[in-house]
Amino acid sequence: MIVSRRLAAGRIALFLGVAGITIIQGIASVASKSQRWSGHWANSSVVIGWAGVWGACIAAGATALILAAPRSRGYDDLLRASSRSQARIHLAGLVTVAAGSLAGYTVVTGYVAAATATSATHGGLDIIELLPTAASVPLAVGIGALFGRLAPPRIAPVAAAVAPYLIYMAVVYAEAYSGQIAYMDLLWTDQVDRTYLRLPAELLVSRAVLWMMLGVALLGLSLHASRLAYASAVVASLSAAVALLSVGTRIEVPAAYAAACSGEQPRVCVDRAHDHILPEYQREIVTSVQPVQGLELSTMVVVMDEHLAAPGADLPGSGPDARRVIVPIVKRNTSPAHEIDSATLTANVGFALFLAPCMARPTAADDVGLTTAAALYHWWLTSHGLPTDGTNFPGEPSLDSILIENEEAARTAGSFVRLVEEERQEWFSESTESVLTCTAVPAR
Amino acid sequence: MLEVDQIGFRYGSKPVLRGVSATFEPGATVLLGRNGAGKTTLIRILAGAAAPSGGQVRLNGSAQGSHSRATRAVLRRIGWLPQTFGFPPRMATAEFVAYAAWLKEVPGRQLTRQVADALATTGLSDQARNPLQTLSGGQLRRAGLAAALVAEPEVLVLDEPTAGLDPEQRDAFHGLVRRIRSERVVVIATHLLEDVEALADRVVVIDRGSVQWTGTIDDLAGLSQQQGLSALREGFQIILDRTVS
Repeated sequence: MIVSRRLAAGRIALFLGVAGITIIQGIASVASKSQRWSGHWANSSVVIGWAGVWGACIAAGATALILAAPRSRGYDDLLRASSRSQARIHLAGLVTVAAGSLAGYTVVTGYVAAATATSATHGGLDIIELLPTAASVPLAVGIGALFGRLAPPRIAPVAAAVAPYLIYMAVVYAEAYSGQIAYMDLLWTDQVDRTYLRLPAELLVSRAVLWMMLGVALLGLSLHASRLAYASAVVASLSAAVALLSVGTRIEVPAAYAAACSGEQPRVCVDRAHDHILPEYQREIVTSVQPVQGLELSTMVVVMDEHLAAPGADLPGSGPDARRVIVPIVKRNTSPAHEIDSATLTANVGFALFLAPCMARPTAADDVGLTTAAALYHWWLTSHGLPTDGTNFPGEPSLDSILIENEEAARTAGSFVRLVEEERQEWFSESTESVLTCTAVPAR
Repeated sequence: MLEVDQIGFRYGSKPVLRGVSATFEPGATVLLGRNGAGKTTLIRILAGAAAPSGGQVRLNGSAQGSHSRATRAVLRRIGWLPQTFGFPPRMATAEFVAYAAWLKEVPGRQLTRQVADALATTGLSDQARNPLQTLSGGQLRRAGLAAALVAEPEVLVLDEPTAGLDPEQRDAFHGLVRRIRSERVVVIATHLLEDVEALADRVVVIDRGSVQWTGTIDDLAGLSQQQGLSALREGFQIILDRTVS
């Protein structure tokens, strides 16, 4: 029953506000880490939970705001003298916040699903992975209700908004300090990468029930529904016990390691977990090796990690004797990433072709092969317009520092740059084997 | 009939009410006492806004408990005008009264009529659509009274209903309360003898958290040799002096 148009308008504004802020922060949270989930359904199902870290803060703050309003506006006595239960009085406001929060997560889920569906090759959204995020809604509303009813009205919204994050951080620190127990598995969201692993369903379900029931218990406590509060607390503690039995459990996904290879030259292979970026990986590799046309690449297979580079790894269409060159897929701080950063990949191709072979054998500072490799990598980076200060990917050596310390390498790099295109191709065609074994001598 | 039996109340360790017992019958009963005597606390307990630390409130034999269904059934039959009250922002007068009706579980089909009746009774029909913050002090008190009356309660408790009103507004408010007191139990907390003279059928004098005297307005005046308001003032003072001694 609508008794006041202004109250109804306020609730609509509240719904839109909670949903809108949840959507904005949620999409910003997941988009800023798109390299960890894009095109991969299992990870996509998990990242929606990342929106729940701040999303819970928003819902808790909004709940506290509406529940503290009667005290801050001075009509709380009016509500206390009501013949309706406190739960019934506040139900519409609580449902509005919960609905706004859920609507926000639904839109974030839609965004993630749409972004993933365009490139994913297998799988689908995992509903069980979404349960803990949904459970964070009653938790946040419960926290907000508690603060809204008990904390001083002016600080209640802020204190409630901070509380879920404090719970989150407390669990993160508990895990960091315990060093053994994966307490973060208990949270409504986690940072476990699902590329090669998954969490047991009973853990996901039990932690969802834990937070949902804890939220209901807090709501019951706040709204004088003590029987509901006690019953929910009992269910929450049972769920915590079930969840604790399986924290730290990881289930490997063997199929994720299987190789998926392109049929074109140079041959490239990724694992099945990353097969959604195989065409782009192939394309980027082909584009980046254009300047080394003289280099004979037909006997080479470019793979994304050491697992596929291992002699025993089965690469469809390639013999066991094919030379395997590792070009990792790195984006931001994620490796292997589910998105390709073109510049980083190009730098990695150069590193894999020229410097990585030197890492496979012992070298001295005055090693001619190493000097040539450093010069070639320097040329590679400058010809692709990439920085030479070691900032292309984590672990990259600084060519600037190497060339300052190694005058021979600097001279070699300079002379290589001065070669005309045909001379460079000729040198590469003559030096393929020595380049790929770190034994090349400088071009003169 | 509204009864309070051995009501106690504490703010922390400080006792505010000590074993207050009284019976309120149809008509107006004024709770008279100095500031801090415990009148507002007793009114809040009657209205259900505060829970006593001991004792019981009964309406026609039904007792209030704590947050129980029975308590809510009793609260449905009690209307309350607090000394000061706030309201949700930007709310119109009629919306505020309708909200108060909703809080007292007035059925939806009766809500429009009862809101209109309450506004008409308090002379606020022409202010129905105006936001509460645009009302004068007297109009705001009447809006509060409309909110207290809208559920057609058997008991009406009014806390310092004329505080802050000018003499003209006070007279108008007295007239309004006189019109409605005949139909129900009305309990009025005040420290103003003008309110006692204008409204009271019976008087309960409270001091230091206890009932010190109960009687009719004529009984109170009879304690003094004076006439009119002066008689009430002297009678009240005599009761307070007895309390001290």
